[in-house]
Amino acid sequence: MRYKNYVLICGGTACESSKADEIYRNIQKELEANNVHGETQALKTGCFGFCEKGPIVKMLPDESFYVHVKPEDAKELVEEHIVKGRRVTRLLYNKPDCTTSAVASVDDIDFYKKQVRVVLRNCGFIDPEDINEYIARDGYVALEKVLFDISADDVIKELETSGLRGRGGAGFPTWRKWMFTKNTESDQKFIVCNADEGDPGAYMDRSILEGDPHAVLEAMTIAGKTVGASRGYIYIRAEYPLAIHRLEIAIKQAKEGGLLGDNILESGFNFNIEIRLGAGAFVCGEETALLASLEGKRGMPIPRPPFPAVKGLWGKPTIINNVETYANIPAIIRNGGASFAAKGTEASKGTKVFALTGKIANSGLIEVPMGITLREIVYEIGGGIPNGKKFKAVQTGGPSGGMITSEFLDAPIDFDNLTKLGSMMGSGGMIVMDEDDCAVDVTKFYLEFTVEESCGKCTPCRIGGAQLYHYLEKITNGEGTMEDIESMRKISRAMQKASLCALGQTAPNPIISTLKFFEDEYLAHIKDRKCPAGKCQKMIRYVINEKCIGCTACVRKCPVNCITGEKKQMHVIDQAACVKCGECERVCKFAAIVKN
Amino acid sequence: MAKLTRADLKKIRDAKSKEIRRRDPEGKTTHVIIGLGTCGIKAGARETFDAFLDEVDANEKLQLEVTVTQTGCMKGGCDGKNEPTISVIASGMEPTVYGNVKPDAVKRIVNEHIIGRKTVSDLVIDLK
Amino acid sequence: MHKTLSDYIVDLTQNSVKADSNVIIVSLMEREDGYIKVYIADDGAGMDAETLARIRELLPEDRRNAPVCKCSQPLESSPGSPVPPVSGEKRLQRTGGQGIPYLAELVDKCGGVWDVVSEDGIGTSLFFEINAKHQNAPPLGNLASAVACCMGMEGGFDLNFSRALGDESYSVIRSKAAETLGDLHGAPALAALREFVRQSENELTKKGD
Repeated sequence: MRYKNYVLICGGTACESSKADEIYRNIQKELEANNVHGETQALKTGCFGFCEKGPIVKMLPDESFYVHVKPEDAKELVEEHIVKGRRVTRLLYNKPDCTTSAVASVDDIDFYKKQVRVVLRNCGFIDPEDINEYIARDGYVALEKVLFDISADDVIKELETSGLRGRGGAGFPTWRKWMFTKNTESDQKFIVCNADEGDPGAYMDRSILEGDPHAVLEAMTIAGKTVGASRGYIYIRAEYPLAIHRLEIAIKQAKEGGLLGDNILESGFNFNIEIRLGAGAFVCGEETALLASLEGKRGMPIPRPPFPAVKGLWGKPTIINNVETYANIPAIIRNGGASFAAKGTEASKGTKVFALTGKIANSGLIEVPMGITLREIVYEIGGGIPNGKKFKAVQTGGPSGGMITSEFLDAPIDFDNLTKLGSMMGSGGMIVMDEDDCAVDVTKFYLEFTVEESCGKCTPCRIGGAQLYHYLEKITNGEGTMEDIESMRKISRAMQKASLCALGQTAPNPIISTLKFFEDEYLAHIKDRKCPAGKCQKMIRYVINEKCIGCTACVRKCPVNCITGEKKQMHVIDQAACVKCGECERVCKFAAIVKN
Repeated sequence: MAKLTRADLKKIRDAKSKEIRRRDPEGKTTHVIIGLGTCGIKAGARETFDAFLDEVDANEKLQLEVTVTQTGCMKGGCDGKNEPTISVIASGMEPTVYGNVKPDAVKRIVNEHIIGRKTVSDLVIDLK
Repeated sequence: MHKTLSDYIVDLTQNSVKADSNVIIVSLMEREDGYIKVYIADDGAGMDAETLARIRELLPEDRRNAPVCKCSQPLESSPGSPVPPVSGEKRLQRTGGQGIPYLAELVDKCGGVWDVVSEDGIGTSLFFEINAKHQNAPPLGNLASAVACCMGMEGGFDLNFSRALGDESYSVIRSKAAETLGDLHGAPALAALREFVRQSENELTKKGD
């Protein structure tokens, strides 16, 4: 069947929670009501990436891009766009500067212009709940190739040529993991997919699993064939219900179609994949802790070596890769490693998916070639900082990473450069901060997270993390001393050296990074007892100056009644009672209340 | 679903990939739909069809990008004055219906609308 | 009236496509004495008795009441066609356009015959024969482009076009053509198809001479 029109509705978690499903059902209903359902196909796809503007509805073939769509808009979209062929201008995406009238199509949207979609090629394009759509997009071609045409060594060779490095954080060359596992003799081996995505603000893996689950299944099956494993596990956090649901459907369809299970495509190769739910502990993203959790034990890391590639799940050689790493593999086998290596930089090949969030105009999921600069990401794709604020820094690598400041905006982004800059690639979270963000406060937020998520097995992480957090709290409360900074540096070094796993080793990174780039802010907190960004509540004071005419507007607004004064007289704030909510500043028409 | 064989996979790819490619943001396409009802044919829509085929086939880039389809009488456009009518749907542009598309107009539509990405405003007709 | 016979073929084939047919058969047989017979049949929606009767009103009186041969057997699908014959459960109704009235006028002017039979949900079959040497008969026109035009119409139907001149003949099957040429909506495929018919037609007329 050839359809004349397509309506693609974003079915990622973000859009889904803004009623994408209802939009989908309403559009289906309207198509039928207008008797155009025979020539128009409505599909719910994976994430489009442009989450800032969701829910998104895209119309093809003319590529109209409708944003912030509500269920009740379905009628107008169908009657106007599909039936009459006229665009619904009020819902079309507008450029942030609003100088041009409605932007025409995806092509004209800056958010997409610089992106190169390899891993996300199917996200927002196919119906992830229909295996045939994946197959039609050259799905399972790579598996056929591996089953029938090329040897295990060829597979590893292609991976080596591609230069693919693990997308989960550390960037270990994938081919070497596979080779170790392949070369280790064992009666049983395992393939594990790490879908325990835990960095705050990161949702790359979730979106891939929601939008293109078969890519991961295919890659795991290829891994199984290559190293001689017959079982695979996907370890995914239970907080990702939609991704789990789509994976379950994908596994079921692949089994029914004979692409998983016994005697795959009559090749004699057997491979099964099971889903294992994690309870959302951050440390279980660490591979040895993840494997422990898979075995039913407490999710705690063990020292390496031996590496899981040699001695992993139940003591057997195990490949453990992250979701995005797997999602790259079918294309590498299909098109050859060289085509993958053509993108990116010398030591970091291919593309990387980032979750762009924080103080940025276009937040969302993006895929860019390695080596792109931060400036391109923040200003061209991300559309810059909203409300005319000044850029301060980007936190990459989540709680294990560090800040990249404006002087490094033009440094190419790849594994090694980010490490050199004192941050790391991590799994791909990118949080943008503007002048209103306090470096010390943000650091405290990350430490709070790592202290909370520490498994407690090793002392440096358990005690050191808590101590670091304690010092940060002292400083943001305005009680810090210069000795505290020194202690923090010492503890950080100890944690980096002595912690058992990456969680503890990298937990001090935000501190080291901010002490390097924003030492002046720490000093302002300690010496001047001031938070330059005005973020640390304990350190700010609202005072009323002589501009006050005694209108009493603030008195009426104050939730704790701490402002006193006669009508038409200057008022005063009782600092002891003030909760620093800032309501008085907002309500004052005479700029008589200031923060200092 | 029954177990698939390699031949089945190929069949699914062949059958579905063309259809799915129409959604592909990378494979930019322009669809030209020619109204070939009795009225259109009488007004010379066949020559229009031929002219489109010639224009597009002569240009290697357009060969890959443009599809030409025939449909019956276009609802509402058929009033005995506007034929032959065609509709051009180019990605990123408002779907447009043109009237009185004789072979010389075909050249203009190909050059200005499909290549130049600008509507040929004097040929546009309004379908109501 | 259309200008050429090819126009009639496109117009009438268009009706079959619109009727949601799975298989359409178009044949154009030209006798050496100059008589041309065109046969267009489909397994599409068909017409109900009332519509058919209204259309048959256009026939000359002596033919109008001739017994209608029921096409109770669904058309056999053409060789190589992936589409099985229809089950006859379609609800769509074939709507009469201007195509058949035009045909009636043509036949009337150049002294030929035509007829149409149809059954609701089974299909429609239509034929006409004219003397191409009659002074009012239109020329054959650009048959190559007409065939390309029919093949490129929107829909999942198969179309078997055959053309004979005397004892010589050639044919084009849509599904086969798509296999060799690729998407029949792409201009290169359609142009190649058009060229194939043009050459076949040249050879045919050469041999015929």
